[in-house]
Amino acid sequence: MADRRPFLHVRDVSKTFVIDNERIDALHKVELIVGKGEFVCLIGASGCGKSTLLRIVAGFEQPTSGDVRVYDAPITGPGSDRGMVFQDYALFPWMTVRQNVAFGPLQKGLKEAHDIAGKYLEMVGLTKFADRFPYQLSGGMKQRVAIARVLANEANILLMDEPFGALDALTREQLQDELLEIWARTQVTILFVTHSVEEATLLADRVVVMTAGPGRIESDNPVRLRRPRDVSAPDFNEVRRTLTQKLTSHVSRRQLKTAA
Amino acid sequence: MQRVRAIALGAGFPLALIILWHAAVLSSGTKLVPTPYMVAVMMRDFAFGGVYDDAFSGTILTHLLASMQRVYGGFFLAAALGVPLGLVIGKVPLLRQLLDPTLSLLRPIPVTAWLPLSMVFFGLGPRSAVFLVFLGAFYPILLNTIFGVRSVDPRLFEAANMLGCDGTSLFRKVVLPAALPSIFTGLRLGHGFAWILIVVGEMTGVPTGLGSVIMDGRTLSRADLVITGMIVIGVAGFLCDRLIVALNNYVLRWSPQHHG
Repeated sequence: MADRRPFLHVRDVSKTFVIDNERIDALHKVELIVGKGEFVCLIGASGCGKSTLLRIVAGFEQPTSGDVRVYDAPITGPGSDRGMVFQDYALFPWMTVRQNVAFGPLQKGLKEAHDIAGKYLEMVGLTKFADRFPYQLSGGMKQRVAIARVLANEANILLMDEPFGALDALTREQLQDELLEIWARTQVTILFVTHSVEEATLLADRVVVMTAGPGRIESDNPVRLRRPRDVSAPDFNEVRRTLTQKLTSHVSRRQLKTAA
Repeated sequence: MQRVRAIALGAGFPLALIILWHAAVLSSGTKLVPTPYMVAVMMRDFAFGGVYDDAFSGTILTHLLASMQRVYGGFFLAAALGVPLGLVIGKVPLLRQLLDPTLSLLRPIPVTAWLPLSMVFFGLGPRSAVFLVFLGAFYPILLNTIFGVRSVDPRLFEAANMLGCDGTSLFRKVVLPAALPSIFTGLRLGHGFAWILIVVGEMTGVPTGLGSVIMDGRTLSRADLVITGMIVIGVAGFLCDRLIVALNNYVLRWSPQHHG
């Protein structure tokens, strides 16, 4: 544990897209360090580059300048150490739940792939549904499969891009609780994109507020609330209000600027 | 009750057509078009013999098998070439740029226009028929496969990459299964065209086959024989299509929306 190198280090990352000859600065000199086992939420208005940042960490996109390192080793592409959980699940529809979860271990040639899949399916409570196809599952169940899939692949960084955004409120609450439980059990590091301040306040050790035009980090806020957190507690509301202010004050300032 | 209704409606309409046909032949007094009853007698003779006892009596299996050999020879050739070619054209932009203009130019040429050249290349005989069937089945299979590959959700590739799957194993494990619904659409269309083209293919002077029976019927001015041949092709094509649909529904059991 005495490793002094930063675990996940986003170093001075900028990303420019060119769409129809128009340059879009999705990210501008973003610097972020995430400790091992930390739960970090990225929030911000749409267009602030939070998803782009996540995709760069995943290795799906290359930064225009800067780089992302894990223990000083630069990320060059997708890797099994980082597992992305997509908002639209991205399960393989032609595979059963068990086959989806066993896919990563099978790619590595592990003979015990199906046992590994079984273990993680149990962790997310889907043992009974192991032989179903994704179309037979609810949204919440699909997202549990997606989480089990990256955990079975031995990802130690979970990258979650608004994973619960498409779910109804009740299912979302349930999955948030389950995620916290899994996080506590597996000690994975989580980088979680959301646009819900409440969700960020409930889940995160740190909430990173991002702003658009160009996308950059506006503030980095440790959340010092004890777990399990109670969304109706006064101190919870206090944190949420502060974060909301940071988020909206900037949005309205920018809107004023563009209006002027 | 619903089922009875569906059957009554589905069977009632052709029955009404047959009655109309019968009435039309009788009322017009034509000798060129046989009544449905005369066709039924011809069908019986074609299948079992014992009515006219001529060259066509009891020969249904000979002709049907000869035609099926050519239909499936051409069809499987088209599938064996069209599916792999479609997979690589769909996935490799370089190949697409190389081949797409040529294919787009060749595609609108009607298969019948190839008939003279096909006779030059393959002579008068079954090989010409197989070639024409192949041409007709090839394009729908190829184009639907390309379409299937190009419309795979890019997230599935990202998910596969992150789970350690790339290169050729990506083709087998993700591209092919994800494109299967479209590939089956192409196979089903191509299969339909194969049966349509068998008559054209067997116009090239082959002694057996349902197409040749129809051509003989025309030469001999025997419309009952022509119609009998048409019915056999229709029924055989229909039954084989049901087989493909059953295969489709089994292979695509993970996607009910693609069931035929």
